[in-house]
Amino acid sequence: MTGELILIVENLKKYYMLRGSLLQTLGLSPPTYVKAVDGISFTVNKGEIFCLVGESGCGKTTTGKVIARLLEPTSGKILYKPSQTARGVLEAFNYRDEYIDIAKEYSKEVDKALRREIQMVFQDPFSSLNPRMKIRDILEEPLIIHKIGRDRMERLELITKALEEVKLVPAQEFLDRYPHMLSGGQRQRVAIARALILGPSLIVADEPVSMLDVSIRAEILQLMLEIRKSKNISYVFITHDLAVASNICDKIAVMYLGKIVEMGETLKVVNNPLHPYTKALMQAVPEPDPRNRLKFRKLDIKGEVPSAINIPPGCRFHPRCPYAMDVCKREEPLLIDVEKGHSVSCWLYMRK
Amino acid sequence: MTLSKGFKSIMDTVKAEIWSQTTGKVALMLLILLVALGIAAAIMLPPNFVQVWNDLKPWGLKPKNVPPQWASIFGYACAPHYEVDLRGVTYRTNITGNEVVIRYILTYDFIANGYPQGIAVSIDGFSLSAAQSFKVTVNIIRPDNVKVPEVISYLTIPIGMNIRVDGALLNPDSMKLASTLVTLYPQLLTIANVYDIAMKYTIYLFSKFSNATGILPLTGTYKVEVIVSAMYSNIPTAKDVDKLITAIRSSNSFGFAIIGTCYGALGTDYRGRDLFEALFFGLPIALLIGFGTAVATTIIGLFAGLVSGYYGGLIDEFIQRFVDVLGSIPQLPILILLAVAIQQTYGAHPNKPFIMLMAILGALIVFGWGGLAIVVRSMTLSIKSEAYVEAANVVGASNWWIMRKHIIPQLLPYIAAQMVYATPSAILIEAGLSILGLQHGLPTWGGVLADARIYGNIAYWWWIFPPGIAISVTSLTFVLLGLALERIAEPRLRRV
Repeated sequence: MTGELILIVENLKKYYMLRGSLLQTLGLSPPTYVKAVDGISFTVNKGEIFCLVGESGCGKTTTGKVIARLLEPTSGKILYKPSQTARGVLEAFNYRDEYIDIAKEYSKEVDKALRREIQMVFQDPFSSLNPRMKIRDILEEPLIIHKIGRDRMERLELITKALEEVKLVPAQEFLDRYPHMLSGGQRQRVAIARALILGPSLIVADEPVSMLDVSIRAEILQLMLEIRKSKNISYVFITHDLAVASNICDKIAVMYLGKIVEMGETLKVVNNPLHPYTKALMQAVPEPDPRNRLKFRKLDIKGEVPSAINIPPGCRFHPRCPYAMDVCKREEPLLIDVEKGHSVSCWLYMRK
Repeated sequence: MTLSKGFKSIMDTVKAEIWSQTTGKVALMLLILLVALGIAAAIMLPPNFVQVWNDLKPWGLKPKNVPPQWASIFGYACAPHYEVDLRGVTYRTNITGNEVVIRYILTYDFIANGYPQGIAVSIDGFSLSAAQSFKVTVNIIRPDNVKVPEVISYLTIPIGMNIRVDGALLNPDSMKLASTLVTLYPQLLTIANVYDIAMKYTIYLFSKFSNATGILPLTGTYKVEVIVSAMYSNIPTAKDVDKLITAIRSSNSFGFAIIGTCYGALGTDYRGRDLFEALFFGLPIALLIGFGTAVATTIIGLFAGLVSGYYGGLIDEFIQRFVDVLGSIPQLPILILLAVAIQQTYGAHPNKPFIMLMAILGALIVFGWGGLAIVVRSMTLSIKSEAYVEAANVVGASNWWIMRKHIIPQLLPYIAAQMVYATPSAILIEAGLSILGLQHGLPTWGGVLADARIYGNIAYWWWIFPPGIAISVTSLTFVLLGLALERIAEPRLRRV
C-alpha cells in the first residue's frame, strides 16, 4: 500500500440507447437512454481492494465491465497506470504517459498488452467456464492468445503453477477434468486461476462469491486476500453484500442508480454510514448475534428502485428517502468530503 | 498424431452416439454400403458414359422394354439374349468371281422359354473403299436342317469412292421372311396367314408346325450364317480380302443378335439401355448432388449465420433481409427457367448435361442455406452472451478465436444433423425436377423415372420400381442418420 494510484475513474458514464418510437429511430426526437452508469469517479490505490456496493441494477457490474474493457463507456476517462512489463509494449507504440486512458480504443498489440494487465473474475462460475473444455484448455486459452510459453510443455507448467496458486492441488488431478466435475468453489478457483495466469495488476471481481455456498465464501475471499498479498494485485470488488465488503475492502463506494452516493474507507463507512441509503443497507445486514434475533429492525426507506430510464430529478434517492427535503427534489447533490477519506452525496450534509 | 487422435475422437463419438442406437446402426451400415457402391461406380465409370447413354447407336442390338433375367422366376417367358460381336469371332474367306466373301458361322441354342424379340445386325462406322457393292446376308439353318435363306439381307453401293455404313440396324424384311417361310413350310398357311407370320416372325422362325398341334417351339441348335461380301470390278486379290476384314475390324460396331426378352440385372428401357447401368452409375451422381448441396449449403449457412449473429448491426440486418428475400422467391420456377435457358444456350454442347447439373446444383445451394443461417444466427446470439465468451473477451481473444473455440464446437452437432437432412432433400429435388421434365441427360435416378413416365408403361415395373427404391433407400439412410443424430442436436432428447 504505497498510496500510488493504479486506477483513476473520472466522470464515467455508460448509457444504453433504447429502441424507441419511429420518430426516435428517424432522429426526429431525442432518443431514450438507460443510464446504467451516470458519471462516477473514484480512484484505486496499488494493492488496494476497492469495493463497489449496491443493489441489483445500480450499475456496479456495468462499471466493472467497462473497467475490464468488455464495454465501451459513453463518456469519461479511466486512467490506468500500466506495470513495467506493459510499459515496454506501450512505449513501443508511443504511449509514454504515466497513465493510459483505457476507455479509448487501441491497436491490437496495445489492446492485448492492456488486457494482460486487467483481468476479471465473473459472478457465476457455472457459466463462466466453457462446459465443453477441460480445465487444462480453459487455462491454456489465455496463454495461447498471448503467445506465452514456447510449447505445450511450458504452458502446462504455467497452468500447473496457476492451479497450485489457487490451491487446486494436486494440479494433475484437475487438469483433465471438465468444469461440471468440479464443485462451485473449485470452479471459482479455476476462474481466479484463469485471471491470474496472465499476471495482471488489477482484477475486477464481479460478485465472485455471491453464487457460492456460505461455507466456501470465506475460503475464496481468503484466497483473494492471499493473492493480493503475494502479488500486490489491486481489486475492484463488486458485491451487494455489505458483510462481505466490510470484511475485505479497503475502500467502499456505495452506488445507487448509476451514481456513487457514499464513498470512503471501509471502517468509516461501515461504522458511520452517512447517506440514508447506506444506513438502510447497513440495517439490512443480517445480525449474527442470536440474542438480537427478536429485536425489531426498522428499514427507513420505502418503495422500489426506480427504473434507470426514468431517473427522478434532483437527488435520485429522494422518492424513497425518509429525510427528503424540497432541495432534494430540485437539485442533485455533489459528492463532498465529510471527513478525511469519507465523502457523501446528500443535501443533509451539504449544509454543515 | 493429432490427426489420428481427432479421427479417433470422431469415431468414439460416432460409436457412442450413433452406433448405440438401432436406427443409427442401420443408417451407418446403409451409408457405408452406399458410399462403397458409389466409390466403386465412380471408379468403374467409363469416361464417355454420358455420351454413350444418350446415343442411340450403342444400344441398337439390345432388347427394348424387357424385364431383368431373374423375372423368369416369376413366370416371365424369358428368351435369353444372344449377341455376337462379329469383329472378334472366327470366319472363313473365299473369293467367288469378283466377290470377296466372309462367312461367319454362329450357333444359337434355342431352349423353349419364350420366343426372341427379333433378329438384328448392327453396323456402325464401317468404311470400305474401291468396292462396287457391299452386302450382308443372314441365313439360318434350323435344327430340322431346313435353311431359311436371307433372313436379313442388305446391299449398299458406294457414294463417291467409299462405301460407308453408319448407325445401321438391319432387321429382317418381315414380309419377305414370311413368304420364304411359307414357301419352305406350305402347311404354315393352315395355321396362320402371311401377315400374322410377318408380324411375329420370330415365333414361326423358331417353331415346328403340324396340323394337329399347331405351332410348337423347335428346340435345338440353330446355325446362323452371316455372310459379308464385297463386289469388285476386277478379280479381287488377297489384299482386297484383307481390306474387307480390316474394314470390319475397324468399324465401331459390327454385331449380330437374336434379341432376347430378358436382359441384365434390371432390364432395359425403351432404347434398349441397360437400366442397371443407369442405377449403378447414377449412384455417385445422386450422392454428389446430395453431399455437394448439403456441404455447400451447410458451410454457407454456418458462416452467414455466424457472422450475422456474432457481429450484429448492419451486416446482420443485411444478411437476414437477404435470407428473407431468398426465402420468399419460389425455387421451382427459377429452376425451370434456368433449365430452359441452359437448354436454349447449350443445347448442342457436348458438356450440356454437366453444365445443367451444375446449374441445378448451384440453384439448390443458393436457395438452400437460408434456413440454416437463421438458426445458426439465433444459436450464436445465445452462445455469444454466455459468461465464458465474455471471459474469453477479457482475456483478449479475437472474434475468430471465440467463434472457433467457443461457438462453432457447440453448433457442430446441429450442423451435422442439418447436413444429413439436406442430403436426401437435394436428391429428391433433383429427381423431382427430372420427372417434371428438366432433363439434363445424365443417367440419374430421377432421369430414369422421367423416361419411364414419358416412354414407359405401368407394366414395365423394372423400369419404375428400382430407381424409386434407390431414391427411397438413399433418403431413408440419411433420415435414419438424422434421427440418430437428433439426440445430439436436440439437447432435450439428450441423456445427461
